[in-house]
Amino acid sequence: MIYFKIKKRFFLILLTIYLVNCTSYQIIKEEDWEKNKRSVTTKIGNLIVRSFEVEQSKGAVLLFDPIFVKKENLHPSLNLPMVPSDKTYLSNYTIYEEINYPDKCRGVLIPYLNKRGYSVYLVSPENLDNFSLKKIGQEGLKDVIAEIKDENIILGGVSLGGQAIAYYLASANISPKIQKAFFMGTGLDYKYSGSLINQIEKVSKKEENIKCKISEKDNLCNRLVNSLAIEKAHPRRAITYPNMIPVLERDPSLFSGITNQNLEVLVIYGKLDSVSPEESILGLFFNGWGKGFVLNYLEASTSSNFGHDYDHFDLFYHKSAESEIYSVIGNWIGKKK
Amino acid sequence: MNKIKIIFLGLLFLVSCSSIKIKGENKIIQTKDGWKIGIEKFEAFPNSTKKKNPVILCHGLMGTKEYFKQNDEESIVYQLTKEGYEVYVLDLRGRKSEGLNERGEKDSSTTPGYWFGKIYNDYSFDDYARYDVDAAITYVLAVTKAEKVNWIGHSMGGMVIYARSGSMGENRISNLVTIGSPFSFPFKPKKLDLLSLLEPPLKVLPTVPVGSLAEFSSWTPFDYYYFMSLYYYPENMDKEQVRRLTRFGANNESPKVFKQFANGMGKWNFESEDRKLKYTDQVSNITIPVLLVAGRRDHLGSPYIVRHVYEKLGSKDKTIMMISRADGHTEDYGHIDLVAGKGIVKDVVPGIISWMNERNK
Repeated sequence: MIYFKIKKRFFLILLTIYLVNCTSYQIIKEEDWEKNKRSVTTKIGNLIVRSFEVEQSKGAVLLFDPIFVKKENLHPSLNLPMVPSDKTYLSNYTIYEEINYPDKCRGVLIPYLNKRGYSVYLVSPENLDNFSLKKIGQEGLKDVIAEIKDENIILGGVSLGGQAIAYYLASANISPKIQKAFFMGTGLDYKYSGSLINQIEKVSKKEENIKCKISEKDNLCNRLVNSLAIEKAHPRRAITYPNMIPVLERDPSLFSGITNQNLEVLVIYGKLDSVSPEESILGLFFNGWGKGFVLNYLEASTSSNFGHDYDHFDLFYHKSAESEIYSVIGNWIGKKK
Repeated sequence: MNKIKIIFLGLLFLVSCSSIKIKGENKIIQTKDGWKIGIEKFEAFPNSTKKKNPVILCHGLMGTKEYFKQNDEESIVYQLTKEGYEVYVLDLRGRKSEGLNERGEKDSSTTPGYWFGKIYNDYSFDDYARYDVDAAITYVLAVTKAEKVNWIGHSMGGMVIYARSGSMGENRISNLVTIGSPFSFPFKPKKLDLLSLLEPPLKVLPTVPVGSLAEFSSWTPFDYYYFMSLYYYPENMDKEQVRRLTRFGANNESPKVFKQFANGMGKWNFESEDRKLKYTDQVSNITIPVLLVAGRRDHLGSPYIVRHVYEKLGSKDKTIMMISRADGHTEDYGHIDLVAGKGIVKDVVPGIISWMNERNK
């Protein structure tokens, strides 16, 4: 009987710890800039900025919309369309809408950064009309950055949306508030045969909407979505691909200005990432960089002593992403330049 | 007594399982600096359409020519001969085959010794490129009467041609295929830090005893996954292939070669031993057709490094062939499985042969 009581208490303690852990990001104040009439309007249209602020922030992290990645995997509250006027936006952009890892308590990037004491601002296009990563990066982001009060801003490029950050960083006059930037799964140089741009072109000529099943081996989506973990767990799930793929930069020289900035950059790439493979990320640095530029890199792979070789979506979805990748970002952001 | 018999038979069975069945004609050739190196000739299939130039296959760092053959009929050697190529599989200096004469008998006078012997593992990467490659091409051209050779190099076996053609003026190669060949090491995989453990013993040992350790490991029941996963993707190699690889395909290496690689870590340039030649920069002098084969899971000849070489090559005719699921192959390939893995006949070899055939009409 005593044993039972102890066991029951032990169970309750464990349950409490579990719940506290799972809900620890409830303390985050989420402030919708649009509701408070603080929406940012740029020359190319409105950019939506969602802020996840913490009190006594150590600094701000500005992320640009990762495009391909389901937003829920950046923050749990983002499981509804961010842009009510454009209901197709998220549904079309969601790849794994039916697929969730069983681990509901998995780490997600924005709460993780909040817990480390950083306010996070997630920037997205208001709608997809004339959507251009280039225009957003070269024209829109500077207004958003000017609105952020923190004096220390870290830019984060996640997935393909990171190209907007790259355009901004390559421009001549970046804000002195920007000291660091990281790119996670962002291809910066697709100028080679067999690149993602080539592959998309081949498919898009045949069909506009790319829809496929994982069990169909020989098609683009299956080949790009390389997650063995997901394939094993959901062998027959259909994957809906976005019917609007952002226009990616063909000319990497437009990003070469980044390497001449007085800036510290962390690039993270998954070894099995076929959307933004390592050669599309590191290609930007083949010709070296300026004196004020510091390059850090993280290969998410077994050769970095990680549990497995990461693919593109593993960087955002995998249950080990928090412990193996976000922790590196958190530590790196915290270090003085 | 019966137990001993069973154990003996069991061992015999294991040994017979781990033998490589395809065998060519072994020759020992001499380099200009006096080393004797082994080369094994495989005739093209009698009923095949003979191709223009012969092929020389060259292994990588710490490797031997045996791993090109270890899949027997599923090997790249067999498939090339079936396609009509006369194939010569080269052992660079210091390999096990040099311990044999042409009749396959032991010849202790040509076996590199640890402390005692006539010759030692005291050569550099430059010696491979300058002398061994030269001897191999000279020999093959002499016996085949061809004007040029095709060169297929795995890992360092491709690097020696990047160095020789780019920096030493080699012009007897018609087409080059490199498989998982890096030519700079700007970002070192963390696991390679393990190699730093070798530094203290290397100050005492006159050789890097990788081959001896690998052979020993093949007789133990452990898989050494943590370290070996750097070299191959386990899904692509079955146990027998790993056993053959460690027993026949690995070799002791010269400390000087290792040091040269260590000096290149963290740099965009691979240099000569005296550091006067910037080999990587000079691949821009290479203008022959080049096929660069890369494995998505390769941690040593990583795809970004392969692309780095690709960008630097002066060739107009150059192609990267990525072996990955995203490119329609059955699996993502690592470093050694690109040439010794169980799926190469389906995933790797056809692309190479097709590219070669286009240029050997």
